Amino acid sequence: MALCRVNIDRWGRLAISILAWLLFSITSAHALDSRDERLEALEAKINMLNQRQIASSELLEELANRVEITGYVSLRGGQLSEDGYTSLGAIEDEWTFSSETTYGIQIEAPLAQNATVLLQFSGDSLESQAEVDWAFLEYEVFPGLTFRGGRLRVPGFMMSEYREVGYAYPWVQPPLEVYGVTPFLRYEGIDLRYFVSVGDIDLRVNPFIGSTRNQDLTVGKIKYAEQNSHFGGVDFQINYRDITARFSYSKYSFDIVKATWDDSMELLIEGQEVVPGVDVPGLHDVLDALANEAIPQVQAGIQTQIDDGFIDPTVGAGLIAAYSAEASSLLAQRATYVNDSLMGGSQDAEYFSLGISYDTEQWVMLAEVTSGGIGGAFPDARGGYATIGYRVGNWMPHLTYARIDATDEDEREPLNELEVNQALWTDPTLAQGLAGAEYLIELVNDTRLLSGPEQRSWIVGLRWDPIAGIAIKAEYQRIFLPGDSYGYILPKSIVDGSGDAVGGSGFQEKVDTATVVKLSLDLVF
Amino acid sequence: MMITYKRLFLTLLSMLFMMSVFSVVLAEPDEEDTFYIIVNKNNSIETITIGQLSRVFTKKTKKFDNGVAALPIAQRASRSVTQLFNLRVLKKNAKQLKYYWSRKMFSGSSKPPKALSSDMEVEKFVASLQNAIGYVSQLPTSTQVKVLTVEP
Repeated sequence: MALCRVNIDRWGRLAISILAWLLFSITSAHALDSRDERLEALEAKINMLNQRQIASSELLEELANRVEITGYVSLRGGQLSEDGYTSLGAIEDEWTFSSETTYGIQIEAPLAQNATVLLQFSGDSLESQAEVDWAFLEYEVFPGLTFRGGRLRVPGFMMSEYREVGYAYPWVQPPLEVYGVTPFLRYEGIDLRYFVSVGDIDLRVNPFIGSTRNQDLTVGKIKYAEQNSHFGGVDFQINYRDITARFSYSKYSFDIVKATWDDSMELLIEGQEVVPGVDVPGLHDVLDALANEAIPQVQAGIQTQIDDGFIDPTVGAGLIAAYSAEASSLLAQRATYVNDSLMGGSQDAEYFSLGISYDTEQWVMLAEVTSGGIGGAFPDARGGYATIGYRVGNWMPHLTYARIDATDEDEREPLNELEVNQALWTDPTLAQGLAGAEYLIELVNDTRLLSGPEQRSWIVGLRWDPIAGIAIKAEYQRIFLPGDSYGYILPKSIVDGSGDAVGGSGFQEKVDTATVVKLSLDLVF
Repeated sequence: MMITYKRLFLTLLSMLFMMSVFSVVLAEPDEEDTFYIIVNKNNSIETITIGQLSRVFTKKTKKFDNGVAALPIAQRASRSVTQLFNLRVLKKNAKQLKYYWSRKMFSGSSKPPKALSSDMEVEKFVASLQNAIGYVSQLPTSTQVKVLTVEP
């Protein structure tokens, strides 16, 4: 019996042990399989037990002194459907993955109580060196009021402070119809941010003032000039539940230098001495030469023919008089061809913008309008877009309509066509000179036309978020260019300065429609 | 024989202990189906709405309704209480939250609340800082913190 009981006990113990291990492995396997966080919870519990003795002051100190390093990468690729064209020098007619790629790294370190230092460097494929986007000291004057000083970015648009960070918006890039035309300066200056709540409405008021030195003035990837500026403005942001609205006004005083526009206009209209002793004739020179040299030569020829009896003197005198009138007419027209569409020098600028976003668990709606620009020839424009997106699990299909219209075409008035009495221009030398003058006028007009943006786009896109911190996007954009406008779809030869094989000007017929396909991989960490 | 029974008893006991440990692990999702909002006991507020909580934790507002500065403290993203809090209060999943904060962080604007790794840490943090607010999965044990009534 005793033996038997022992045996039972032994078997019983064995059975219980097996059962226990089974339970153990089932429960642990279950815990592992179903949810990793269960294990993590257990670890956290153990941690918690270990940390009971850690003084909370240490915890606070450790938290407060933590230096945070974050960053982003936005790898963008795209292709434009039209051969020989480029979308602002960024998207080409061949598939490329580099031109709009951006990356950045941000370091944020606490300096003292209520004071933080933040540094953000960014780069893109066209820059050889990283740029400093942000480098500022932030000081919390009191809860609800912070002061920042250092290098900041001009606020105002919904995405103006993070337009390189692809992860932060639905598209591959924010619509150029709004984001293409403003300078988006990085500046040295100060700002205040005041937070106030009225009931359920939260308001942020952000006045700023600062200056820039030697920054490029660009539209897309096309550099127009370099500029120095002083400016100030204010940005309001209002939050109510899922709605955010933003309104901004800023005013600038620019000193624009190295304006390639002015160089081109001067070269075409007035001519330039490119190297000492070598002048490239401009429109003025050609007209002067025609009126003061070529026409008198033709007149002298007629006089010789009269003298030699080949032409009836009365007819000849009438012809000479007609040529004199034509020469006067040319000089009178020359006087109207003024190089007055300039970009350089002191220019004022102001920008208004209004944006609204509605972001719920499912719906994303975004709309922005902007208006403004820099005085002089630099294009002023009114732009806007509206986007609607719907989240389905990890996917978000979205649709956007965007448009931009130039508002200062009179700053780039085309030159009048030359008016001539065709019958007088049959002489080969005169004909050649006239063709030259007409060609220069056409170049001036095309250049002026090229800089007045007018474009409408429909964008259909899909954003996929496989895991938090990674987004993959695809986009199809159909672009319409009404009237004479090139919009942002420019002949490649103009943008890269290579000219075309025939005339050397590089101007091609504008296209009326174009398609852009884009892909991107966006990370934040 | 006594020894055998004792062994049996010990085995049973150890098994029970193991089971209880794992039952805690297993039962946790049920327990963490709720969360508690805690503030420092010296904070005068007693109630908070879901909307206010959301605004404080997304840093859209810097203050409590009583005008006192608010310092939100979160828990790690992997904690189930965090996921629950984010879905119920912020109405955002991990991806949407990352999307939201990426806009704030890289625009030099604000950053997500610091995240601690356990209820106990949050409790300590809130206990020692008068303007702190946090969420925990278990009723707090510290007398230095109080649980707020959350209104819809």
